[in-house]
Amino acid sequence: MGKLAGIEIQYLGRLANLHLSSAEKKILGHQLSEVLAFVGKLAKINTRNIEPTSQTTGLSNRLRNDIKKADYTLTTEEALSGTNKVYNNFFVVRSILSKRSHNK
Amino acid sequence: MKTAPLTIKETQDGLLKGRFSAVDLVNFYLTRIQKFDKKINAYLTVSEEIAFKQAKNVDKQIENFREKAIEEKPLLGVVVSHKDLFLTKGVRTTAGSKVLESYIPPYSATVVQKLEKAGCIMLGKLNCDAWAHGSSGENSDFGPTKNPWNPKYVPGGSSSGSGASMAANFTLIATGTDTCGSVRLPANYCGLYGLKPTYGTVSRYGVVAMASSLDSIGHYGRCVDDIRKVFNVTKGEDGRDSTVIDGDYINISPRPKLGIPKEFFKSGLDEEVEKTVMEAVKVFKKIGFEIKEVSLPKSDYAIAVYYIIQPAEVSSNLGRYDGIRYGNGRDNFGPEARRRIMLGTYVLSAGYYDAYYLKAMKVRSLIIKEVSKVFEAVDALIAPVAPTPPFALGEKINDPLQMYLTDIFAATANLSGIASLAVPFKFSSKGLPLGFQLMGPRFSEYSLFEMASAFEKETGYTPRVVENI
Repeated sequence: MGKLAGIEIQYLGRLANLHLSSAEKKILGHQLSEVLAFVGKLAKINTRNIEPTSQTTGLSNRLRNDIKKADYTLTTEEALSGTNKVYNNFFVVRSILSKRSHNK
Repeated sequence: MKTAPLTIKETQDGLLKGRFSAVDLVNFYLTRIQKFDKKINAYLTVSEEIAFKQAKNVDKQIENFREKAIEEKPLLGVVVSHKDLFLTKGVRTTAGSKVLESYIPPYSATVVQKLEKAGCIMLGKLNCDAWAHGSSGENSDFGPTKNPWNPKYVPGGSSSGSGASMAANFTLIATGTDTCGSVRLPANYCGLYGLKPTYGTVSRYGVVAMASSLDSIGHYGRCVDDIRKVFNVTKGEDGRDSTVIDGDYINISPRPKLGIPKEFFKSGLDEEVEKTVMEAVKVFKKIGFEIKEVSLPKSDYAIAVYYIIQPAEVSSNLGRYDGIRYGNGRDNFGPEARRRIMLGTYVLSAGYYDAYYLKAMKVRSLIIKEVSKVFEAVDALIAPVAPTPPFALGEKINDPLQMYLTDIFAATANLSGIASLAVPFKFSSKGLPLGFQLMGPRFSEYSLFEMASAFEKETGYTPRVVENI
């Protein structure tokens, strides 16, 4: 694994939704390359026909009954308690559409 | 009161005999925190009002129901402090990060609720590496925690405040989380017992997630009995974490076999650490354990696997922090969180997923296979917790890879979902704590407790805290 190029860091930053300063990009490029070189040693292990492990419990599809329980639920007030940016019992978010779209 | 008892049994005995009240205990701990925590930085929030309210309630129950009160609430009067990753209704929970600097959760974690129901008194919230990312406590956005045994040294991380508060006698028990040694390392560096339970025994509900396939909810105590008493309360299904089951726990074998995994004792291991573990082995041999050298060749790759899987899951879990519903925006993530988000995003991105993430998940399968095989031959493994004794503040902070390698002996237990108990034993030439870990198969907690208990008895180990800091 070679060194992570500036352009890759820039792209990753966008994927990760992080604003990175140019100084930070430089440091991260160096540090991430070092870690990737270290973890890259896994490449030499033979993993043909080996199933990947995503969890260790051996359990699957454990679902609770679909019933409403008061103590499983936050009230509207509780759910909104973490922010001041509230309008009519809704969270206020930044608008993501700037222009009216015209479908033809 | 001059000093507080160091164990749950002594505390409850004292309460029953009227030697002190629960309010006295809270007063004692708060006075110590006020006096010494400026030097240690273990607490991010002290919940004084709640503590006094709960203490008064405890005193009332002891007065009215005596022993019956403790039979009903096994942890009655036990003062607990929570790692600041545990959501506490109405009490600020930061995860050690500026992103959640002023976050007040509207509900409590299952473990917090269970401990409260069992009679615990909550004293406050403990400092930790932000989002539990770290091995030294230095990655907290609220300043590093210091080791009470010597404040120039780190207490271990990420549950840094948990280890330090226990060593400083600020609290009777503390909670922690262990994704790759974050309970065991501070236990090891602060002279405590620390349990990383089997993945799927203790609910993660309401605990800020780090890497969901690895996170285990653990705790600290100053004797094996306290670890057991707390585990009796925290374990078990809550209907809110689908990984948790009321499993069948393994009993200790009549003649336990203890394995020494030779890969954990290779060059690079500090001499004092190695000597400590080997002395512990001698003690186990003396009390009738069969000692056997075993091999886990793939464990050499555990830390590399961990540093792919963990950042991948971190980048996904931290994706939810957008500053819209609660907390501050993503610009508030500190350098280590940013590093891990970037690394995780990379290993999950198209083009690199197969080479890194998928590969790591496959090697994880190989590690698990090896570990399962070893437990056909032995009942438990004994190993160092970390390659060195506590290191100095600042020593590794500018070298992320070196810091990551601190976790090299912790990773195997998390990747394979097994139980591990950190056991305190000796002190280094510099007067800093040393110990070892006992790893057992899934659901072997009670077997590990029996082993550690026998060791505790044989060595005449007594709990120790730092009186004057």
